[in-house]
Amino acid sequence: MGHREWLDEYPALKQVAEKQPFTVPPGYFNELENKITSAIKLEELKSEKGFIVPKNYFDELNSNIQSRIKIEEFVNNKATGHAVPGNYFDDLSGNIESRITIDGFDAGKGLTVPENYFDELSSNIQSRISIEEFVNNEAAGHAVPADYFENLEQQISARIFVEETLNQEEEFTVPAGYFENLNKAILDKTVKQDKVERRGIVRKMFAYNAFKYAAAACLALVMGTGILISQITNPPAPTHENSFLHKQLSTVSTGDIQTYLQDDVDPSETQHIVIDEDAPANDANLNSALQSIATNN
Amino acid sequence: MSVQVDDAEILSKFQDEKTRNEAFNLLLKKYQQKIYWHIRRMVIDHDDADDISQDVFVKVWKNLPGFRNDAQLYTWMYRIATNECITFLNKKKARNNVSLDDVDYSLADTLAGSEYFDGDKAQRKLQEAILTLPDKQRLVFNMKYYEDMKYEEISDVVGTSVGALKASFHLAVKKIEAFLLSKD
Repeated sequence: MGHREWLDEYPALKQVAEKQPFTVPPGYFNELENKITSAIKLEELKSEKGFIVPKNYFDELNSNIQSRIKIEEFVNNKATGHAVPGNYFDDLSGNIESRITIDGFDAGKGLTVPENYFDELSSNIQSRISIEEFVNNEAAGHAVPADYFENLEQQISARIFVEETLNQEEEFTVPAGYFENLNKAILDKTVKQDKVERRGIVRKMFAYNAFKYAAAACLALVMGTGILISQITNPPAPTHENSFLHKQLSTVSTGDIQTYLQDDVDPSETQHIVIDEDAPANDANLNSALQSIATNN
Repeated sequence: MSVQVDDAEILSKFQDEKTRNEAFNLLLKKYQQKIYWHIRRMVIDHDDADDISQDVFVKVWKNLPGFRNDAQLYTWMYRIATNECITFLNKKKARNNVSLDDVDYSLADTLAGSEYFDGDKAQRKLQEAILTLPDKQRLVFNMKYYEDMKYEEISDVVGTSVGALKASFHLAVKKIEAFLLSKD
């Protein structure tokens, strides 16, 4: 005990035997090893988490508990309370007295009613029911326009007539199988025809600008030629704008004038009259006409 | 008397999955009584010491894979046991809602009523004197007096400097000497 020199300084402690005063049950340390081994196995089992809970269990646990508490409170209230309408007990005394009074009337003998009361009772009840129904209808808001029921029969008759008329229109007939063939005929004239026409290539002639200009040129050429020919074959009558005589004679053809002059007029006299009268005239035309007359004569 | 296996050999076998259980059985045989008595002197009651001993070795099993070789195996286990004892005593104090001194009185009552005490009158008186000490001084005194541990080893266990341990130990011994001298 080389480390025990310090005990020399403490004589009282040194006198105490250094024996272990504590004891253990017999065979304890032999069992301790098994206990510790078992404890270790138990600890390992604890860490394996054998118990599981449903998903989100703890998230919903609070609300579930709150719901359960409310249900329990509701059930307890029903079980103990048997709730009654508001002011039930305040009105109970008066209700009982009224019931007693009614029962007293029923039980009482010798009570009278007005004369013919029961004879008129049935009709009174019927009237009351009708009034109640009318009031209820009005109260419920099912109102009708004024004089609705007075005009109702007439309106119904008119409606029936219209319906019958409309139904008669349906009596027009068509040949048998008309509607069956109609669809096919329409298709043949529209869709199928289009299909046939669409087989070739469609070229638009007017798409070319050269064709337009050529057509315009041809048209102008034809019109110009026609006008020229008409000018040659039927020359326009000469216009005479200087006198009344010219205007009047302008509508007479040259052939008529020549015939007239040849048959009815003396050329010398005619020349004199014209000069004397100092009428305006186209001298060149007149002279040429007179000369031609003279040569013909 | 079983043959004591070296700590290094125990640790080596524990690292191998195949010999892990064998290594732990060797460790139990080597240290279970030392750990038990260390606990028993602190909590006095056998059943309490039994429960704490099992808890300590369960923790040793769970934490031994992470044990670092820079500390000695037995001082590491003593540290676990010491922490378990302190935790137990604090819980007991909180559970009974009594002061630390009252806990000591409670332990003294346990000592007086324990059927697993075989000491004479002087030894009983010594235990009563030890129970008057604060927990840390009791720890230091028990490890020095009963287990003859070096201050350096005690320092590894309780995490206190050697100088502070020496002062604490001498203070504890003086209190015990005074206790033994003051009462019959």
